[in-house]
Amino acid sequence: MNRVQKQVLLVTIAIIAVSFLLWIAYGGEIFTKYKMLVETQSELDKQLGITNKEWVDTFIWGLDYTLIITGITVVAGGIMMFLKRDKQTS
Amino acid sequence: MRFIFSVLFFALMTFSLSAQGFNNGVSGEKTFTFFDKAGRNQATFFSTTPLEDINGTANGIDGTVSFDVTNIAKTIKGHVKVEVNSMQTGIDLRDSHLKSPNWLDAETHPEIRFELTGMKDVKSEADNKISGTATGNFTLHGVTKEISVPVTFIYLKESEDTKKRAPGDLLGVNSKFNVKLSDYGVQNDIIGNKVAENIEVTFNVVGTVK
Repeated sequence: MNRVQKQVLLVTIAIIAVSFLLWIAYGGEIFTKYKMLVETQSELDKQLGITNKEWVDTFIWGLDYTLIITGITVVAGGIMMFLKRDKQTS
Repeated sequence: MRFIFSVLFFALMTFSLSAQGFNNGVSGEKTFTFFDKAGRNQATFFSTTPLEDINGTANGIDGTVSFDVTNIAKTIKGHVKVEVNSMQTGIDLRDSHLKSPNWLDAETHPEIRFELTGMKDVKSEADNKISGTATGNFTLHGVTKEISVPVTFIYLKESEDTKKRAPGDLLGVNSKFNVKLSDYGVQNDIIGNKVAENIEVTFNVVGTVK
């Protein structure tokens, strides 16, 4: 493995690691979500004995995105490593 | 002795009658509507799959309930309906699958309906709060079954606070019950996941006086 291939490998591993760290940081959800349910209860709601839930726009990084990025990175890294291989001259 | 028994009997009758309804100084027949232009009334549902939990909401709620305030058990009637198309789970693809012919089939069965026929085990928990078991016909996916669900009613007389939501008296209705999907002919596969057989449904609605 030459110097360029090592750099490609390191970058590939770093991208995959960051992707998994992001996934864990976002709560380890299986599917990526763009909305989250938030419970709300006003003073009047309390008197009426009810609780409401509303959708709030938010982004939650899921395992699906993590796996897609991992796949793309592995394929791209593999191609780069193949292209940057030492060509033997006979 | 006969006098004491008469007084005791009268007191017992008075207590048992008041326990059948609200004791908040309001009397007579009242009708409440659950339609809320702002869409604040909602039913929420919760289920699980092997991969994740599913939380959802439905805000397309309409219906009415009417009763004699002091004798709810014997006079209550009404209905609540939920628009299937108003259901949301937070993932658009899952929402469209939920409404598709394979699941709730929103096109053929656009609403889920509960036709209230009576109420039993009515208990007065406060002057303006009663709980009991509502009985009625629940229709989902075109299949109707008689069910009994626990329900709590809280009656608020019109005040400056209640006017912020709507004019007139308000009725808070809360109920939580399980729906078994196979009872209503609903397949429980959703985007490759097996959804739990029982869906937990919670109703949080406020009725405004008609």
